[in-house]
Amino acid sequence: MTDLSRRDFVKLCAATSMGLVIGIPVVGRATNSSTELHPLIRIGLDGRVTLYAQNPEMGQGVKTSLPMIVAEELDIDWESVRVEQADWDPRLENQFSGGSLSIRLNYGAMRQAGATARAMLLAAAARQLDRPVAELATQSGYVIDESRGVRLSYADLSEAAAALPVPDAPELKNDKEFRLIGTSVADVDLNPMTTGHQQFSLDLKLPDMLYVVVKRCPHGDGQPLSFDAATAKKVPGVVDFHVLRNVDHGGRIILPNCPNFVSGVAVVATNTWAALEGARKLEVEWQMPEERDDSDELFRRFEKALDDEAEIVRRDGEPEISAAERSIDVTYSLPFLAHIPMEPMNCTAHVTGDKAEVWAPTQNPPMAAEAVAKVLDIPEDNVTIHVERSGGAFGRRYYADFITDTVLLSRQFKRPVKTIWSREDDVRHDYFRPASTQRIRAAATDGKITHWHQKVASHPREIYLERDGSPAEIGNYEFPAGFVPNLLFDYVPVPARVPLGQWRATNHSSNVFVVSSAIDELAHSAGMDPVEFWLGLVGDEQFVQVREDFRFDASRLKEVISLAADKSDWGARLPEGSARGLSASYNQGAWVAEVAEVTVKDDRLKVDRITCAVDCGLVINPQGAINQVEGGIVEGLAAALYGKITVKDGVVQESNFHDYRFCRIRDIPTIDVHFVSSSDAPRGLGEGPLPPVAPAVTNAIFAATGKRIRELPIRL
Amino acid sequence: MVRFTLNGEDYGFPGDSDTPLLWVLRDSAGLTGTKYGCGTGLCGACTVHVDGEARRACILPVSAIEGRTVTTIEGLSPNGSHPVQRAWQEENVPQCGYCQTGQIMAVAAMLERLPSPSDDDIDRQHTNICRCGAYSRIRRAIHRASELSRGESTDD
Ligand code: FES
Ligand code: FES
Repeated sequence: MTDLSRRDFVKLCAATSMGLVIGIPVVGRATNSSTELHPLIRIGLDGRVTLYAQNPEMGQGVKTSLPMIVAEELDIDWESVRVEQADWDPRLENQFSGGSLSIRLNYGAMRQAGATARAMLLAAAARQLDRPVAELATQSGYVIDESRGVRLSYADLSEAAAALPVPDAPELKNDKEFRLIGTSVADVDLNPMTTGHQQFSLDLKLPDMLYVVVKRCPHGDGQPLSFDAATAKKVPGVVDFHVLRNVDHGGRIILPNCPNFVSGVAVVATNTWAALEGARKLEVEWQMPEERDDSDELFRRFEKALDDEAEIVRRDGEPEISAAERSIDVTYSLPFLAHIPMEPMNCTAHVTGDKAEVWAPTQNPPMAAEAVAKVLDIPEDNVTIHVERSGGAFGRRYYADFITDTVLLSRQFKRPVKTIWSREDDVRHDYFRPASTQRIRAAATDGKITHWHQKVASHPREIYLERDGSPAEIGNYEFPAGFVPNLLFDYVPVPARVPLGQWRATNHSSNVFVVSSAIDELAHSAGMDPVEFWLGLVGDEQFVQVREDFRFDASRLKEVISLAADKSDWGARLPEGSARGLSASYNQGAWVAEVAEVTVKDDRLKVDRITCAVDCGLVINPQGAINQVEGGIVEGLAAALYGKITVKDGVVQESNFHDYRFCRIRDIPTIDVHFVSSSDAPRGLGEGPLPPVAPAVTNAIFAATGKRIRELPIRL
Repeated sequence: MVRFTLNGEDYGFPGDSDTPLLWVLRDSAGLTGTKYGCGTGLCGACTVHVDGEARRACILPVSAIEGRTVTTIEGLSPNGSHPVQRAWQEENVPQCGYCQTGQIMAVAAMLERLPSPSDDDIDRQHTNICRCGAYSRIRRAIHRASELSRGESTDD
C-alpha cells in the first residue's frame, strides 16, 4: 500500500470490483446500503448523501464550512446532506485544525472531492443514457438530460459511477456559479447543541468504563515519589491507583513538538465525582525538578536580556540610531496566557492487545495517532482515533498529552478508561502562550517611520518543544518589515521550564500589541492622526516584496484600515473621557483593522465598541465567519483585561475562573464586523481578529487619558 | 436513596448523598446536556432548574434536592421548541456549543422572573461564561426569546 501513489491507489480501487468504493480501501466503509465515491462522500441507496467533515471541529465552524465546499461542487442541496465527523484517516491530507489553516489548505481539495464525484456521476449517466456528458447537467442531486426531460438521481447512479475511472482534473465550477458558498448556513450541530443532545467527548460512556482523574505533579517535569491513599480510598467509588511517570513513557517530549507530561497518580473510580474527590484527598510526595521558574524573576531576566547580544532575525539598511535621534525608546511586556477551553481536557480510550481505540476532542488527529502508537509501542495502523466535537480548544488540544495518559491507563486496567481533568488541572497544567518583553527604538520624520529596531526576549517555544529552527518568537516577515527602510528585528532566547504551546494567533498575539502600540506612539510623537499615520506607513504601492518569497498585498491592509476608520466614525467627536484607538495587522491569513472606542471614568475602563474590518479572501459561511471574528475579539479583550498566568517556585498559581478570569457578558462592547468582499481564494480567519484588540483598546486609553499602557493585562 | 422529580419523572439516586447534582445527572441519570465547566459555581455550564429557579448543579449536593423538582436542558421542551431554544437557533448562537445548554437554562429562568430584560438587566443578571465569546449573539437571542415568549403568551 505504501508503494502505491495515491493516484495509483485510487485507480486500482476504481478498476477492481472492490464493491462500491472509489478512492479508498473498503475496510469498514462499504456497505450494502451505500456507496463511497470519495473518503469524504458517501451516497446511500436511499438517496441520502453523507459528507464527512475532514477537520476537527472546536467551535470554529469547519464541520459546516468544509462540507459546504464539497456540496457546492457536487451540486447537491445542502438541506438533503447529512454531515458526519471523519475519524482520523491517514489518506486525508491536512487533517488538523490549527494556524487558521483548515479552509485555507483544504479549499482546493474539498472542491476537487465534490467535483470528482460529480464528474463520475455524470459519466455514469452519460453511459446509461447514451448521451455525451456535455449534453447533461447536474442539479440538486440529479443528473438532468434537459432535451429528453430525463432525471437520474445520484443514488441510482452511484454504484455505476463507482466503477468508472477517477478523472484526473474534473471541471470545477466558476466562482460565479456558486449557490451555496457565500450564503449563511446554520451550524450542522445547531439543534443538538441547543437541546443538550450534542455529544462531547466528556459525555461518552462505554460499557465497563473506568473514570480516572490523575493527581498531577505540580510541575510537569517532576515525578511522584510515593503516595498515601488512606483517605482517598475511603471515597465510595474509588477502586484503584496507578503511578504514571513520564520518564517511563518517553520523557518530557515524546515526538518533536509533542510534550507528554503524564506524571502523576491516577485515581481510578466508578464515577466522575469519586475520581475527582479521590484525587483531591490523595496525598502524594513529589520529586520536583531542580530548576523551578518564578514568572516575576523571568520578566527581570527578559528585561536584562534586552541588553544582551541577540540573534538577528532581519536587518535592513542602517537601523541603529543614537538616543538623540530616537522618537521613542520603549519597552512592552506580555504575560503567559492559558487556554481554558470550556470543556476541560479529557479523553476516552480502550486498548485491547495491540490495538487502541480512542475518542478524543483533538485538534490534531495525526499527532494523536502517532503519539498513541509511540507510547504503546504498537503500529499506527492499529490506532483508531474518533474525533469528537471539542468544547473549545484554542490551541490547547493540538498536543496529545491528554490522550497518551488515557491509553496507558486503559492498557494497565484492561478496560475502557475515561480521564477527566478538573478545571484546576486544566489551568495549572496547560501549555502557555509565551510571555515576552520587547523593546522598540524607532524614529519618524515628516510622518514617516525611518528607523525601527524591535528586540524581543522570551522563553521560546522552539527550544522548549525541541523543534528545529530558529527560536525567535518574531518572524522576519512580520509588519512593519518591508515598510521601513532601516529595520532590525532581533531576538534573545531565555529558556526556562514553564510549559509552552500554541495559543490562538501564537506569537502574533504578542507582537501585534507591541507593533500597533509603537506605531501609535510614533503617530502621537509626530503630532499626527493615527489613521493618517498608518495609511502613510502602508503607502500607495499595491504590493510590497517583504521577503523573496513573500509579496504582501499592502492595498488590502490599507483597505481594512480605511473601512474600520469609516465604519467607526473615526474623527467624530466623543464625550469627555471617551476616545478611539486603532490597530491593524496581517496575521494567520487575515488583513484586519480594529477601532476600539473606550470610556475612562474615575480610573475605570469601559470598552464601548469595537469596529472590525477584515479581509480573509472568499468567505464560505458568513454567519459562521462573523461568529469567529466576534469570538476572536472577545478572547483578545479577555487577554487585554484579565489574562495572566503567574508561576511561583515552578508552580502555576491560578486555578479557575475566579483568578484566571474571562469576559462575561457585561464586559462585552458592541462588536461591529465588516468583511471586505473578496473573490480571492479563502485565507485564514480563526486567529487574525484577536491580536489587534488589545492595542486598539490601549491606544484608545491613551487618546482618552494620555496614559500609555505598555504591559498587559491593562492596569489603569 | 435521594428521591426527586427529574424532568417530570421520579428519580432515585442510591449513591453518596454528598455527590453534587451535576454528577448524578451526568453519570447516573445519563443526562449529559448539563455540563461541567468549573465545579465551583463560577461559570454556569451546569445550570439546571430546581423548582423553577436556575441553580448551578456542580455545587449543589444531591441531598439538598430531596423531594424537589429538577428540570435539565433535556426536559426544557420537547424537540428544542422552548422560546429560548428557538431564539438560540434563529440567532445561530453556538460556537463550540459546550456552554450553551447552561446559557439557555439560565436565560429561561431569568425570563420567568423578568420577561423583558434591558441590556443593563442582562449585564447584571446573566453571568454564565462563554469561553468562545458568543456574547453578542447571546444578548440578541435573549431579546429575541423575550419577544417570542411574550408573543406566545398573548396568543394563548
Ligand atoms: S460547572 Fe457549575 S458553575 Fe461551572
Ligand atoms: S460556545 Fe463555546 S463556550 Fe460558549
